[in-house]
Amino acid sequence: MSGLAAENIFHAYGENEVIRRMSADVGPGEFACLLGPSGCGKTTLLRLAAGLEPLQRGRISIGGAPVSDPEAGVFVPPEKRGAGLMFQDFALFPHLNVFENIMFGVPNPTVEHRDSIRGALEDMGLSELTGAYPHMLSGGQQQRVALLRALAPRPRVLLLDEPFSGLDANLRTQIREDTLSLLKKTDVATLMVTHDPQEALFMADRILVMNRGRIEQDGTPREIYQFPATEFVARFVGQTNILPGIVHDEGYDMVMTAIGPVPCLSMRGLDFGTDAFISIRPESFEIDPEGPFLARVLEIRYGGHHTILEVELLEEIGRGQRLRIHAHPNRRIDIGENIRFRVIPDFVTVIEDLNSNGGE
Amino acid sequence: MASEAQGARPAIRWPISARLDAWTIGVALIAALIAAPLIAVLFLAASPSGDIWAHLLSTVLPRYVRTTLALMVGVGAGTAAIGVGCAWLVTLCRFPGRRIFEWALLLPLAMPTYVIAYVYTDIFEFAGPVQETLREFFGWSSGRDYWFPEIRSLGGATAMMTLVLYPYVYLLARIAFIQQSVCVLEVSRTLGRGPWRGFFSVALPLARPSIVVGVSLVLMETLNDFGTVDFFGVETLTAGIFDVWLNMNSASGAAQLAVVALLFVLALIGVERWARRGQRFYHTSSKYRALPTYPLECALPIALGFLLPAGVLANYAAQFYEESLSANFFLFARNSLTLSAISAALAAALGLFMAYGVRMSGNPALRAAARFASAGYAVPGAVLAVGVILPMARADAALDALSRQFLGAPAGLLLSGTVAAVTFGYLVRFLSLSYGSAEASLAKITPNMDGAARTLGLSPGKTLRRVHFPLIRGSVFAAALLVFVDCMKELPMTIILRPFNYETLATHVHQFASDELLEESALGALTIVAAGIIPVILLSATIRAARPGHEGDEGAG
Repeated sequence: MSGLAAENIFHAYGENEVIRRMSADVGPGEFACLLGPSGCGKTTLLRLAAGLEPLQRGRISIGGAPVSDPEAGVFVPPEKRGAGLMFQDFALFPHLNVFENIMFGVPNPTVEHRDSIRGALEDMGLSELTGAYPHMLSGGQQQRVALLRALAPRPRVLLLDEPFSGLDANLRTQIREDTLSLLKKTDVATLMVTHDPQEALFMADRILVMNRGRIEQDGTPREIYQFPATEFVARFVGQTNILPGIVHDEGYDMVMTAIGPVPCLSMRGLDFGTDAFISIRPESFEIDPEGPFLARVLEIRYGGHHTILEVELLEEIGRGQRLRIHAHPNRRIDIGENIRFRVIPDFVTVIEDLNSNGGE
Repeated sequence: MASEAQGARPAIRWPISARLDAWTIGVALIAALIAAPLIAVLFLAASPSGDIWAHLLSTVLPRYVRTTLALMVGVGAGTAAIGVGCAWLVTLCRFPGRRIFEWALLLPLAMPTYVIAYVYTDIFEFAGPVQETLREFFGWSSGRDYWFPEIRSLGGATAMMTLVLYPYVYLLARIAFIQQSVCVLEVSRTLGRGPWRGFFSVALPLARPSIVVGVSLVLMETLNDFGTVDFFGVETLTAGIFDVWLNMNSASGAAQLAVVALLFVLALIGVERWARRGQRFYHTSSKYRALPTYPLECALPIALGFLLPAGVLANYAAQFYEESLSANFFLFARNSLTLSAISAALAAALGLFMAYGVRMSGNPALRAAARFASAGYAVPGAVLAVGVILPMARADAALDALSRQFLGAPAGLLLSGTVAAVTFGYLVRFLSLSYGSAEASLAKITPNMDGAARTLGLSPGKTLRRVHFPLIRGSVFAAALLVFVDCMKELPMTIILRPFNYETLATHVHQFASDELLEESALGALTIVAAGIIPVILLSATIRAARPGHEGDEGAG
C-alpha cells in the first residue's frame, strides 16, 4: 500500500478526544471520502495527515514511509510530506495572481511540468484568467485554482477539506465532475472530507463513514448505502426505517422483525436467534395490491423523483408501526387511503443489536 | 521532474516539532531580554541597601507622590475637558473648516512635552515678550510691581502637558462618538432633550469607557515625562528617580522610586483594562444633525498646542539658522536619524519574528511571555533606563575585572554608555508598538494560509517571507515609522544611556533649552516636531477609515 495509511491513530484537544484509535488507508489513484457529521474529527484527520497537527499516538505513512510516528520520534514537517491539501475556504494567496498561486509550490518547474499545468488550466477553463487576482474570481473559479494549486507540485496524496461546500448547488455537480476527470489523469491518492452523503456517494470509489472519532464503516458507495453496518450509518446516509428483530431461519434469507418476516440480503454472518435491528430503506417497499402488508397513508410529501409516504401498519403483527415508504410519483394516492405493499430484499440489512456509537 | 517528486522519500527522523522549537526558543530569548530591565528594577529595589527606603519615605517620597498625583489630576481633568469637548463639536456640529479641524486637532501630538515647555517658558518668563510688553504698557519697572503666574511651576507643567496630550482623549472620544448610534441621540431629542442635555445624558455616558482609556494613556505619558518636570523643577517621581540616582548617588533608591512609579502604571493599566471591558459599540447609522456653533473652541487648543509653539520655533530657526548649524545640528540630526532608524528596523523585525513565532507555536505560556515583554511601553523611560543601565554597569565591572586579571588591561565600558545600550533601551520601550501591530495584522490572516504554504513545500521561515510579510507589509512599515518617531522624541532614556558627549536632537534641545539657548536649538526642536507629524497623518487616516457612511455626510455639508 503506497498511498496514505493511518494506523491506530489517536488525537485529543485537551479533554476532548477527537480521534479514537482509528485506522484508514487510501491507495494510489483511489478517491476515498471521509464522510461524517460536523465535529466528528474528519478535518483533524486531514490536518494530521498533512502534518499541520502533531500526531499524539499511532502512525501515519505516505508512500509506505512513516511521516508521523511519535513512538519512533518521526515527524516529517508538512513541506516535506508530498501531501497536497485543499482548504474549505480555498486559502488562495490574495497578493498573488492565479498563475503565481498555482506555481507557488513548484519553484523550479521543468518545461514539461509547466506545459502540463498550462494544459490543466486550459481544461479547467482558466487560461484567460492566469493574471487575475483571487478576489476577481467567482467561487467556482477559486475552487478550481485551489485544486490546481494543490495538485501542481504532483503530490502523492491529495487531501480535500469540504471542497464544494462553498459553492451554489447548480455549480456543484459540474465542478464535481470536472474535479473527478482532472484527478483521473493522475495517480494521486485522494482523501476528501465531506458531511454531504450525496456528494460522497456520487464521487467516491470508497467511503469511510466516521462518527465520534471512529470509522463506523468502510466500503464502496453501494455497500454503504445498501448495507449500512450501524444505525448511525443507516440514518446518516439516506433515510431508513429501523425495526427491532431477530435473525430468523425461516426459509432462505429472512429475518423476523416487528412487522413480521422480511426478506434480507445480508445477515452479517449473525447466528440464528441473535437480537438485531433491521434497516429497511424506503425504496425497499413496493406498493403492490397483492402484497402481504396493509397500511393506512398518514402523510404524503412530494419529493420529485419519488413520493414519500408516512404509513401506519394495519396488520395484526406490528399494528400501529409507522413506516416511511417511497412510491413512484405517477401513482395517485390520497391521505387516509389503505394500501398494500411488499418488501423487496435489495435495501434491507441487519444491523447488530449493539449500537457501536455508545461503546467505550 | 515528476519521477523525482514521486521517488522514494526517506523518513526523516525528526524530534517532534524541532523546527518550531527554533522559533519558540528565539521568541523566548527575545522576550526574556526585553523583560530583563523591568525585572532588574524589581530585583534592585528588593535587594538590601541599608535604610534607603526608610530614608526616602521620611524625606522625599511623600513629596514626589503628592506632586505626581497633583500633576496627574490636573492633566487628566484638563485633557478630558478639551479632548471630549473638541471631539463632540467636531463630530456633531457643522461649521466652516470642520474637516480641517478633524485632523488638525491631532497636531499637538507632534509636539513633545519638553519642547512646548521650552517655548512657553521663553514666552512667559520674566525676560520674555509677554511680561516685557506688560511692563512697557503699564510702566512697571520690576517684578515687585505686579503679579504674573510663574510658568516654571506645577501649574505650568500641568498646562503644558494638557496642551499637547489632549489629542489622546480627543482621538478615542471621537471614535466613540462616531461609532455611537445616532438614533440614540435622536431618540433623546424626540423625548424633549435639547442637543446639550442629550450630550450629557446620552452621548457622554456611552463614550465614557473610551474617554477613560484615553485619559489613562495621557496619564502614562504624564508619568513618563522627564524633560518638562526637570526643566520646571517640578518634583515628580520621574524627576525623583533621576535626582536620587544622580545627585544622591543611590541606585537602589532610584530603583525603589521606580517601583513606586510602576505601581502608578499598574493602577493605570488596571483602570484601562476595566474601562475597555465595559466598552461596547452600537452603530447603526451615522447621520448627524448639524448644530450651529463657532470653531473658536476648537481653534484654541490647536493654536496653543501647536501653531504658536511651532511658529515660535520656526521664527527662531529662521533667525538663528547660522548658529544652529554651527552648533552641530547636522551631526545631532544624523545621530538621531541613525539611532531611530536602526531601532525602528530592529523593532519591526523582532516584533514580526515574535508575533509569528507566537502564532506558530500557539503556546499560551509563550504568548503570555511576549505580552509581558511588550509591557515596556507603559513603563516610564526613566524606570526602564535604571533597569537597563544598572545590570549593564555591573556586567561591565565584572568584565573589566576579568580583563584586568587575565589580560592585564582594563576592558573599559563595553555595554553601558554605548550606542548599543541606547538602542536596546529604545527596543525595550517601543518593541510593544511593532509587536502589537504585527500580532494584530497576523491575526487577520487565516491559519489556512499557513497550512496552504506549508503543504506546498515552504518552511515556516519561507512562509513568513513569501506569504505573511507581503500581506502585512503596510502595517509593519507603519509600526516601524511610529517607533522611529517615538525614538526621535525620546528624552529620559537617551540622556541616561547615551555615550559620553553623544548628542541626539532631543538631548541637544534639552541641553540648550535648559541653558536658556532655545533660539539656537529651535531648528532641532522643529525637526523633532516635523517628524512627529508623521504619526498624526497616519492617525487621521485611521480615524477617517473608522467612520461609516462618511461620504454622504460630507456631501451634505
